[in-house]
Formats: sequence, structure tokens, C-alpha cells
Amino acid sequence: MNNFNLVAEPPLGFNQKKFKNLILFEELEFSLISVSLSDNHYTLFKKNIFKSFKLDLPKVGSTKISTVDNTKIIALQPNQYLFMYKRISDFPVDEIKSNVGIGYYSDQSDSWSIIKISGENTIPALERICPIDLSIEKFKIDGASRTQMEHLSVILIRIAVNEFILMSPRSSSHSFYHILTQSAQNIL
Amino acid sequence: MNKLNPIEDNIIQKNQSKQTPAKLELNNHQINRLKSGKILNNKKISFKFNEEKLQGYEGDTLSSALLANNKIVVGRSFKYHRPRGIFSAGTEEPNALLEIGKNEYQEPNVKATTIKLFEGLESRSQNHLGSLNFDLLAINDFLHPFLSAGFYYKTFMWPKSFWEKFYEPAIRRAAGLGSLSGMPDPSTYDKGFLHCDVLIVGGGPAGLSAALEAGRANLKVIIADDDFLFGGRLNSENFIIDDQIGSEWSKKSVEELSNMSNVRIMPRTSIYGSFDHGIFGGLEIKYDNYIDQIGKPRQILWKIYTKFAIICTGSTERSIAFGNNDRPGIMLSGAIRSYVNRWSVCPGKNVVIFTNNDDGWRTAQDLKNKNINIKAIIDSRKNINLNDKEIPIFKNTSIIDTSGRKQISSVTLSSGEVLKCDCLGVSGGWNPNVHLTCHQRGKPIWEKSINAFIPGKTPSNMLVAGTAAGLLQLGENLKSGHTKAQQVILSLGFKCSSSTPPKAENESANNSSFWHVGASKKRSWVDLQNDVTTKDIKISYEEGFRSVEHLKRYSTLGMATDQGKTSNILGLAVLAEYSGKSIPDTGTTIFRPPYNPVPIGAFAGRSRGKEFKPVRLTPSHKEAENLSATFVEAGLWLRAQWYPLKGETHWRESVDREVIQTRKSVGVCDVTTLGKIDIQGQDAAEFLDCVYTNGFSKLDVGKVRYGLMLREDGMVMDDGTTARFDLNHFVMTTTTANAVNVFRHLEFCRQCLYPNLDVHLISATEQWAQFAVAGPNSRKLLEKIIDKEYDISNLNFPYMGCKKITVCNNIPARLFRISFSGELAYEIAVPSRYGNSMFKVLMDAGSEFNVVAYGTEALGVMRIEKGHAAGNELNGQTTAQNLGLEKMMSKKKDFVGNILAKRSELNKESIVKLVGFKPVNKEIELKAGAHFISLGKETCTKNDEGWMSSVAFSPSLNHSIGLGFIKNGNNRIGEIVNAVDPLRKSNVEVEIVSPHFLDPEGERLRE
Repeated sequence: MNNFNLVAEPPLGFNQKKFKNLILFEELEFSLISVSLSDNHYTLFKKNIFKSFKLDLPKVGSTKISTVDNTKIIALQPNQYLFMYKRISDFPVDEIKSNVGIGYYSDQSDSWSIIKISGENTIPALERICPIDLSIEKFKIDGASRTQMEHLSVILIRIAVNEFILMSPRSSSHSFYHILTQSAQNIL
Repeated sequence: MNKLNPIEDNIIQKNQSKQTPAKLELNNHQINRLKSGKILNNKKISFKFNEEKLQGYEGDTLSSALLANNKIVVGRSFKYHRPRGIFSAGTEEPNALLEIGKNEYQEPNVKATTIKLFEGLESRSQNHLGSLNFDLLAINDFLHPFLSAGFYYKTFMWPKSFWEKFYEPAIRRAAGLGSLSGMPDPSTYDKGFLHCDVLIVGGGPAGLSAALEAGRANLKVIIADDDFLFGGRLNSENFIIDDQIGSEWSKKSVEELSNMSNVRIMPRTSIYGSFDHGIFGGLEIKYDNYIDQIGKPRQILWKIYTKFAIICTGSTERSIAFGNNDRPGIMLSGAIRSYVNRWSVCPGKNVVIFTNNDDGWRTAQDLKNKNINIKAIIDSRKNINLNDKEIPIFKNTSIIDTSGRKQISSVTLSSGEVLKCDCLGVSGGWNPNVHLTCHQRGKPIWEKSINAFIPGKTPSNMLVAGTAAGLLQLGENLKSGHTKAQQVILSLGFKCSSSTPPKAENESANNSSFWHVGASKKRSWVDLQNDVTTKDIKISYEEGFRSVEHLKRYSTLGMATDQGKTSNILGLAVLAEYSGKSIPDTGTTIFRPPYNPVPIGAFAGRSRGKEFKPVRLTPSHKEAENLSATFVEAGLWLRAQWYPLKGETHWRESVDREVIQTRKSVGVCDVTTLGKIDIQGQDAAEFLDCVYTNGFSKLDVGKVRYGLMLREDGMVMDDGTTARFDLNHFVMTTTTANAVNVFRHLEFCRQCLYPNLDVHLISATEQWAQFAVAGPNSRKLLEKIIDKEYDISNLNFPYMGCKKITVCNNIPARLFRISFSGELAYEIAVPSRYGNSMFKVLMDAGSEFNVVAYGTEALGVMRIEKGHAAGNELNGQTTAQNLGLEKMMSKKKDFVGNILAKRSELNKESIVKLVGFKPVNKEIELKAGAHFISLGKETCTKNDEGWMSSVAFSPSLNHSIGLGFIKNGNNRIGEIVNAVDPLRKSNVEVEIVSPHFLDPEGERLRE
């Protein structure tokens, strides 16, 4: 038994911030694992994913959620997937690897700050910072994309018409949070 | 002419010929206001002009309110300081440029014609010395023979020294357009991104017609207009569309569009530029009212992505050049119609119209219908069938001169007749606003039937409709908007609606190519904003400035805020006449964005002050703050620079203490900012062999190696350590500054140079919080927090080892035995969420060793003492040979930069080498940037032998030390040279020494 213990801290720690018809919510306790595949991995990987998560791999630019354990698989580029699920332990690579087996894994759980934005003013607020066309016809529910907002890299996932998950690098998450609150204030 | 519908308005108060002096008392007379108008409601609005309190109505522009209050003179001209009045009713305004707001809100050069009147607006005239009515600089008008085009190139030549000290400052003070407050702008600005199927630029008849059809077909539509009221000229005319007044039709059209969820209506949005790939720039004005901004952005700069654009920007009326055609009260004929019809303001009670086309006659008709006295219509054309029994008509006649200093009082006709008047409307024809069609190098073409340029070839996704396309008549204008929209609808695979184009008659629009009155002996203005006359154009031409582009630069024709909207075509027509060329052969200047001025604040958006760039914080930032750290910017990162203790008054005290205590016992430094790249794949080792000069394929698992990376040109790009955690898994560490560059370089190598290698890269910089734990007690400290099953003794975890471990009861961590300080040292990484806690734990666990937190400054001192190269030495201009690392360039394998690193000039004996320097007189402080000159030689570039790249005060040695590059340095150890710094006026004798000031054998780090 070690005499010293470490305490985990969230990137932002604001929990929830409400504006008129807009809510920002910091999503905590998620594990994020990047899995990268060689060309010859794909078939087996696909098979293993179906076996473990009961779903087909999402197409690039979209996400799928497993009905088995709610694991979300995000496809942002060919042969690379991001697994997102409620944190179980501090060793998420081992967790996914034991399920899937093949591919190259990298723990990204602490690399990103995750903010959920929702409410009727979501699109007007994002319109001020997001260069992507967010109309529902073009960016559908479960759509995913990398983009940049005010010079910061962001992964964007649509979970409902007026609800998105925004992932931005942890180190600059305070700046990103400021950008979001500024947008919310500017539109009201 | 088609029959016009009169509106039954009457002048409610008789116009007065003189301005009413009502300073500081509310002037509620609005003596030029007619009884009712299309737009105005009864809500009164108070505002100020030159401190005089005035009133207007909601729906007024500042210019319409000023005219209603009989403010005829509103400014002074740029060069001659002649009194100037309102000339137009839109964005083309060259004269009525005012300052609005006060103190920090002061904004110069605002066009009074585009400001929506608001309660409390304060406006002032500009560009005068003394009052508006008595401008001392009006003396320039009398000196005009000496102030012709390019006068400043020809005068003020003697004495030479006077130019910078006297002439230029004096000219600058006298010239210019308004002034800034000199204070930071308190308003905020924002940016945004919009996407649509079709962007319709302009909310006039063609634009509305197009928007209705596109909207009904369910396209995603954006329609934008400069004005706060959609309708364009329909608000200024009495045309009938679909059996209703045009302005009512536009109002209903906007209502219909407002109910369509697929249509976005953007009033007060100027589409200022057209760019590649269907991107347009738009400036939306949210608040003219600087008083009520309540922290909201006053303007938003939109980047609009569109599949198609329909340009419906309308047209701008041009003037005719004749003697003294710049007097207050002389206005564009169409503008008079706007003021009368839209704002119920009559700019004069005895109006003369001077025209070369049918449109001038329409103004006369509208004014007559409102019982305004038309003194005469002067038409330059000989053969026309227009007549009016109640108005004196002068055909084949022109105006050669006018009189009236502060308001026009008479005109002199070419026949010699003099007519009294207080307002003159001039119509020289209409120019389609082709600007946006030319921003991507489109060239307009001359259309003889309207004597104007129309759009030439446009990008394939840009269509032009309405008067912008040269269709000056309303019926065809409406139809073209509808037709162009249908083209877009079909191109996008949608179905057109069953609606037919709105119907209107085509008014008569005959015109002529009459540009200026040659018989005028007086100055005839072409460009009112820049005081350019026909004579200036002639002089420019005679002096060799014959291209229209040269003419513009020499004479300033078409420059400044209006960009020559009323003057350019007139100017080049005059130039064409002097040069004997046709107008199309003379050509136009190149149209560039922005179409309308865009404030720099809008371009900056939110990026001001601290919001100029994002900030990156390390996970232990809070704990560093608790330890009173002073932070320094390292790229976007904020890093702890040093940690002052109570009583320390100088940074050196803190840094010296941190260095001494680290070397004596143990110190902890946050090194999270170093780039960390996860490299995996079957060919990861081979890939590293390719990107590093030295080999990595034989590196054992659990070991770390220092690597040197070159650019293709053979210069050093970066250095760092790479750890092998598994056969196919490496973690590369980069410098903080080069983290992104190296990642990008690796991706380039992976994708382009070595696409067949099985390599996968991902940045792990954000994932891990990493700390250097350095000093003789570092192992003891770490043993307290590392879980017991891990042995980090020297035997089982020697220098340059790495392993995955757990700390503090099964928290995953990575441990590296590497040293930048030269001491026994480790770097330990934990997931970032534990970073802040880890820093605290390290400090707590180290308390028994008197552990010290050290910042980047102490880090820098220790690396200089140890002779490690860093950013100052790896500045992109140095080679492995310069750094003394040539032995790291493997001869057994190829690597990026290998070939060009072998260039003979880079490998000469005489190249500069990295060595250490210490002052001969140890009391003296060395300076980075000093250049080395051999003793006894003159300080000059020829004798320059190298430079000092890094210096520090070494608390271990108790004197200043430095690293630097000097020719053949490694063979000159012990030699004394001068370190010369002419900029800071210092010259210090220094001894060349080994760069390793401490522990040259590296015994400490292997203990």
C-alpha cells in the first residue's frame, strides 16, 4: 500500500452552464481509445467488433453506438477509430484490446475535454465558431467530423438535432470553454 | 415615360433658405420634411449634429434627418476644403462623411447615408480647421492652381530637410478624413460561418424576385442587403408591381420570405467580397447604436459558403462634370427622388434637373407630384420626345457653372441663361454594380445601349440579375431575378415552383454618352471625395499617367471610402476623351474587395487582447499557481518560469536557489509541454531509422535513445529522446516549440516518403502529465510514490531506461531515466487527470529532501551548465556538424537530410562549432547575441567569427557562462576572443571552453 494517492481532476470542472435556450455540460468519466489499423487488419477487426459490440463499423464521418454496452465508435478517417465509453478503470487500452484484439491502441482519455452543447440556440452559437455546415441535411445525427474553432482543433459529434458533443484538446479547454460561452452570450 | 403614381404629400412647412441657428436648443422644425412617407412612422428620435440637438423619425438615415433639418453643408472637401453637402442616398456617398460617437466610441468617416438614425446619436462634421462654416483651411481653395494632381511630388522640394520635419507633418494634418479617438474600441465584434444553396446579394426587385422563386423551390437561401430595409430602389420609386406600389410589394415579399424556414434574411449585411470556391464575405451591422450594444457584437463578419450566387447588386447613378458641380445642394437626381419618396424630405424648394437620360425626368415628375417647384429640366440631348407643359425644358443644353458658396443659388446654362435654384439634381446615367463579379479577376464589358460596363465572364456558380446585369427597366429586372433563380434550382436538381415572375411595366430608360461639359471654364469635379477634377485627369494624362491604373494612383481618383462609385466611370470617360481612345479600350481599374469599407475590428473579431490566441495550460497549472509560480509564454503554453519564495525580490534569487537545491538534493519540473508522439506499427523502428540520423532499430525494449532529426536540406530540425516500450511501440519526445512541426514532418514522411511502411502516429502530448525529477535524491523521492513491485535501482533501471509502471496505488505511469540537467534524473508521466495531484504528491513526498519546484529558467541554466543544445542552438540554421553531433549521422543507413548534409560548405574545417564561453573577468555578465571577434581585430562583419547563442549565470560556478558558435571552435579551446555587442555597446573578453561546464564525464547521471 502506497502512502500517497492521486486524485483525478476534470479538464474544466464547471459541470453545467445554462444560457437562454442553451446548455453547456462537461462530460466526465469517459474513456477514449484510438485504434489504428494496418490494411490487412480490417476484415478481422470488423468481425471482432461485430462479435463484441454487435454492430458494423461506422463509415468515415459517422458514429455508431453498441447496444451491448453503449460503446460509441467514431470513425474520423480510414482505418482509424475512436472508442468512447463510460470509464471502467485506468487501463482502458487493456479493456478494448481484450475485446477486439487486433490493431494499434493509444489511450486518449485524458487528451480531450468533452462538452455537450444542447438547446435551441445550439446552431446559432456554433455558427459563430464552426466552419462546418451544421444543417441537419448535411450533418446528420450521429455524424462526426474533425474541424477547428477559433484556432482550436475540435471533434464534433451530432447526437440530436440541437445537441452535439464537442471534444477539444485538454490543455486549451479553458480557452475553448470561453469561446463557447462567448458565442452563447453573443447570440442572445 | 410610364405614368407615375403621385403620393399625396405636401410640404408642411415652407422651406427656408438659411440654416436656423438653434444651438443647444431642440430644433424640432424639420423644415424640409413632407407630411408622410413610405417608411417613416411617427416615432421621433433626437440626435445631435455638431452639438446641435435635432430630431428625426424612426426609419430615417442620418442623412435624411439632416436634410429634413435643412443641414445642407455637412462637411468640407478633402483637399480644397470646399463646403460639401449630401450627394447621394446610399453607400456610394462621397461627401457626407461624419464622425459619430464620442470618446472611445468615436468613429470617423461614417457615411451619413448608411447610418440608421437612433436615439442619442451624436455626429460631427470633419475635415475642417475651425467651425464647419468657417474653415481656415478653405484658403486651399484659393491656392488651387498650386494643388493640382500630384502637386506634392512637384513642390516642397526645398530645403530637403523640411520634408520630414515640416512639410509632410503639415500636409498630413491638413489632409485626411476624420480622426480616431486614439483609445481602444470598446465595441465587440464577432465572426461566423454560413452555408446555403444560393446566396442572393441584394434585396431589391431582382433579388426579392429571385429569393421568392428559390425559397418556394425549397432551396436553402440567404438574401443579404446593405440597407436596413429590403426593396432597394422600390422604396424610392412609385413603380407598380403586380398591381401594388413597389414598396408594398417588397414588404409583402419579405413577409413571405420570413415565413420560409429555408430562407435567411440578412438586412444591413454588406457582401463585401467574392472569393474562390463560392465563398463570400459579409459584414452584418447589428448595432449602429453604440450606446445600446450592452456587450453584444456590433458587427459580425460572415464567411458565407454557397453553391450558387445571384448577384443583384443594382446600379449606381453617376454624375456629370461641369463647372463648380460640387456645391452643397447639388445631388444625384435619383437620390433626390429617394429622399422625397422614401423619407419625405425635400432637399430644396426650387429644383433644377440636369440630365443626359430619361431617368432625370422621373425625378422631376415625382417632385412635381409633391408640389415641389421644378425650375427647369436641362437635358444635354438634342432629339428627345419628352416634354412637360408645366416645367421649362432646355434641350441640347448643359450647365457650365453654378454659384452659391454654402448652398447652390443659381446655375448658368450653356446658352448663357442664369436660373435661380436651391437644389440641383444631376443624372449622368446608371452604372451596374459589377464589383462582386470582378473580384475573381472577371473583366466587365462595355454595353453601348446603356453606356456602362456590365459583368463579363463570371465564375460558373455566379449569376447576375437585374440592373447589376444592365437590365435597367423594372419589368425585365424582376423577370431576370426569377429566371436566374430557376437556373439555379434546376442546376441543383430541385423543382421550380409554378409561380410566374412579378409583373411590372418597363419604364423608359433612354440615355446618352454625355460625360462632361467641355465648355465649362471652371473646375469640374469628377471625384468629390478626393477633390479630383477633369483638369487633374488631363494633367495626369499629359504627364504620362495614361493607364487608368496609373491615373488612379497619381490623381487619387476613385480611392478612399467610396472607392469611386460615383466617379470611376466618369473619370475614365474623361480620360478616354483626352487619350482619343474608346471607353472600353481605356478599361477600368481592377475591382478588389472590399466593396464597402470593413472595420479592422470586424476582421479581428474576438481576437483581441487575451483572446488573440488560445492558451494552453499544463495539468499542474493550479498547483504551480499555489506555489506562486511566475509564468512565461512558450508558444501557446503557459509554463512556470520560476517559483519565488517569500522574501525573494529578484528572479535570480529564485532561479539560483532552484538550481542549487536541485543539484544538491532534488527538484521537480513540469515538462508536460514537450511533444509526445506515439509511434506504433510493424515498421515503427525502420521508420525511426529513416527520420533520425542515428539508428533505432537495434534499440532494446525498455531503453531510451537520444535522436537527432534533420530537415531535407540537412539542417537540424529537432532533437529529443525516443523510448521503446514494445517491439512495435515507441514514444518520441520533441521539444515544446517543435511538437507540431515534428508531428507534421513525421506524417509527411509516413504518407509521402515511406508510404509502404506500417507505421501509425498519434499525438500523446495532451494525454500525459510529465515531470522531471532531478538531483541526487530523485530516486529516493520516486521510490516513495512508485508502487512497490517496481524496482528502479541503478542496477535494474539504469541510465536511459524506460518502463510502464504504476504509482500511488495502481495509477498507470511511464517512467524514463533521462536527464536534461546533468544530474541523476527521471521523467515520470501520469494520465493528465492526475497531473495536478501528481505535482503535489511529488512535492509532499520530497519534503524530507527539501525538494524544490523549478521552472523553465532553472531548467535553462542547468542545461547550459551541462552543455545541452536547445532552441537557441537548434534555430534551423545549424547542422549536426555545427553542434558537434556529426558522429550521430549514421553511415550505415539512409535518413532524411542525409544527402544535403554532405554539402561541402557544411563540412569545411572552418565551420562554426558549438563550444562554451566564460568571461575572463568573472564579474562581467555575458550577453546572448554577442558576436565573436578575434583579439586585436576590428569589429566589423568581415571579422565576425560566430555568435553567443545562450547565456546564464551559473550558481554552481558563480559566474556567467555561455554557449555559442565560433569558427573552428573545437580546436580553439583556451583562446581568448572578444564577445562584441554593438547594439548594447558591450565588448567582453571571453575564453573558449568546453560546452560541458559541469560533470563532463556524465558521472552524476549514471549514479
